[in-house]
Amino acid sequence: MPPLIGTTPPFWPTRYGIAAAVAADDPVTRSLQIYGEWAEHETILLSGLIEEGHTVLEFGGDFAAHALWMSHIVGPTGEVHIAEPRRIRFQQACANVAINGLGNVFTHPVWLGRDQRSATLNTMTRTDGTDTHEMIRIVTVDSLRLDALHLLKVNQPHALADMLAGATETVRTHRPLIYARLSGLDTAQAEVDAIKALGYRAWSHVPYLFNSDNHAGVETNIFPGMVQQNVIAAPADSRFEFAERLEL
Amino acid sequence: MSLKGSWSSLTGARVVVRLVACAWLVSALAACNGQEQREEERARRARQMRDVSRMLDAMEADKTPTASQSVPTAPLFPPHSSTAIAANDDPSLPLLATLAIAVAGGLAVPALATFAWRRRKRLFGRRRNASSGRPPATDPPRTPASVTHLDRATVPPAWVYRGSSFETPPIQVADNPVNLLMLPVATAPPARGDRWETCVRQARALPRQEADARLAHAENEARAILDDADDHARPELLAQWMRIRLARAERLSGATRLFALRELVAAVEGDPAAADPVVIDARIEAQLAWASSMRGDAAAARLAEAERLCTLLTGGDSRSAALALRRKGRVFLQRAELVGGREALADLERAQACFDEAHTLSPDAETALLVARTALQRARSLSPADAADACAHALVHAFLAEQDTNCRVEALACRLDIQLAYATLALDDHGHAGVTTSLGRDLEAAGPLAPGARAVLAEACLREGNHAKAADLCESIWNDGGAQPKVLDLWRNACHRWGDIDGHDRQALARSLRLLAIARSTL
Repeated sequence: MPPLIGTTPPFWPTRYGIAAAVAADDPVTRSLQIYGEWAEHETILLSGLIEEGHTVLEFGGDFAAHALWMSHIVGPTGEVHIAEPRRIRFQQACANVAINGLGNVFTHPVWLGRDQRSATLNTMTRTDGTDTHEMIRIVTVDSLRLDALHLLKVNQPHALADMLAGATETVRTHRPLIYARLSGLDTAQAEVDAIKALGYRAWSHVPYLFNSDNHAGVETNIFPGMVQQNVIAAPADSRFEFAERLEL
Repeated sequence: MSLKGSWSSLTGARVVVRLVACAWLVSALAACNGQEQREEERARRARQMRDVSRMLDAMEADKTPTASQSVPTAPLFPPHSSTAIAANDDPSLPLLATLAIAVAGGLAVPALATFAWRRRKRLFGRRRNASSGRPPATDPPRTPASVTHLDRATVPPAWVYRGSSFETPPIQVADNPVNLLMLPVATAPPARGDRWETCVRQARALPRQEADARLAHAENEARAILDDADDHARPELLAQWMRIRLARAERLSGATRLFALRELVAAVEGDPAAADPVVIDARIEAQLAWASSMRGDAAAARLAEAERLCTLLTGGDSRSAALALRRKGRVFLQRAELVGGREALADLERAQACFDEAHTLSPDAETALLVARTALQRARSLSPADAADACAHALVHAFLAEQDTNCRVEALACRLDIQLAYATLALDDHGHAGVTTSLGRDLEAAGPLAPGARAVLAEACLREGNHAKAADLCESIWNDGGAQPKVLDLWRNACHRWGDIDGHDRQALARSLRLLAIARSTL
């Protein structure tokens, strides 16, 4: 068996801790490596929404890049749950959690869907060909039986609608804020409709991938003009109001 | 037959002689080779050959692109023994070499000739077998690990984006530092006007790195003095240290700022001087700054804590009472922003009452400006009759504030804003246009304007029919990171009316529309 030459990257000092990641062609790893942070504009918004003692569930680990800061915000009385179905990415997220000593972060090697079964990755989302036939385990958010949930953050594309279908009881009980990256033109409307069907109001959030005030102080923009099309949603009867944003 | 036999014998004898000669020559070669194997000679020859090899590599690099291209992929393994042997398989090689030895009586010339010939043969073979991954025998061995590490470390993955005319300008992607410190110097207690406050104010005008370095230095200096201070001087120094920390925090973003504010509040709560009014004032500032970074219940909790601290701040003299009222009014203003709707109006009323009372107790320009702004904000939520009264109340206090040179620009912007609000309430347009134009001219001449003042000026320009200038002002606000939906609506209206003018600058309008589209799409 040839040596796994790609599995020995260096550790990177990032804004919220030490990180290491595989897949050097991934935007997350590129950003962590060059800028010492990933999607900081998401952090700017979300850090005003969660506080000490909160529970956060994040689907799509992003190498635990955001779990690093969320863990510190929720503190020892809060919890951060990461669901990452892909094997190597899950292991890398676990490694980053471990080397930063984040005792309140819980990792789950699962895909969050509408029912419980197994499937190959390419049947759930678009893949780049390297892990097309990787078998993944699908569970529902309800099956996690979380004691509390204040923020549901969805990074994984092509997963939001199915995930919400499997989270009806959790959403009804805890009424969390929902922050999700929309998957694309063909699915965005269905995803927003799925959120609204739960009795939520939704607003647009379009953060730039490049943060000129990045941790490493690098001025070169490797993501020029590139934004994410995200949605922030709050229960219609809550006191959250994002008047400065476009309501969807 | 005998002759034939003799010829045969002779021929056989010649063959035998040749064989013997060959055997002798081979023996001689072996002997020579044996001598060459001596350590010093072999090392010297190896160096010479390596040097020659490198020279030939360099000379042939341009002539043999295929061979040179295959080099980086080839040396993945150390030289194999069979490869070295294969290079010596030609049976004529010892004979030629031996003859050369015999004739020339030396080794240097035939060795070089032989080496060149062998090298040419090897290069030819390498071209044919470029994909085999076998290195040439003379190449220095490289281990797979070293190659992998080197390549991974020095060759960055190819992620190259090409610019285009549709590329978003980088100006608006930066979140501007937030002004966490509450009020300019005029509202501060007299004791604050020291060198650290000057340092904080100057740092705001500097680039981020430079400002952070200056503030870090000031913080360390303040901390050192604070550690050596007696109980009498400690509260003032602690408050000053907190304000420097706040100034540093305002330069941070997102969760980092949140961590810094949380750490600051926790650091002061246990201090013996935390109950001193000067420190309580700084603690209120920290809570308000924290609330401005939060939303929903988290922000409400911070505002509740700030309001509680305001009750501790109330002192015996009128100055302290006025300060407490100003802080409390500020809490109500932030709460109004948080809740919205009818509840917001109730909080605005409370804030107005606080600022009015504070102005009665301590009639300074900054408090007058707070009164004017709050009254104007209320006017926008009231019925026309009540709004007119609120506008009048605001206008009186804006005039008062304008008398102070430090507040003149902000007071002028406030007066213009009041004028615009009042003009929408009036049934006729008599005289309003002239006042608006005059105020706008005065404001523009007053110097560099903050985004809020520019927004007011843009609205005035729009009403006066100067659409291009209104659009330019909105664009400048967006460039400074201050674009809110209201500014974008203003910008859109300006562009819309700009296009209706005959003979307008089409190119300038198209550019402004494109930037507006970017601004709206990235809200």
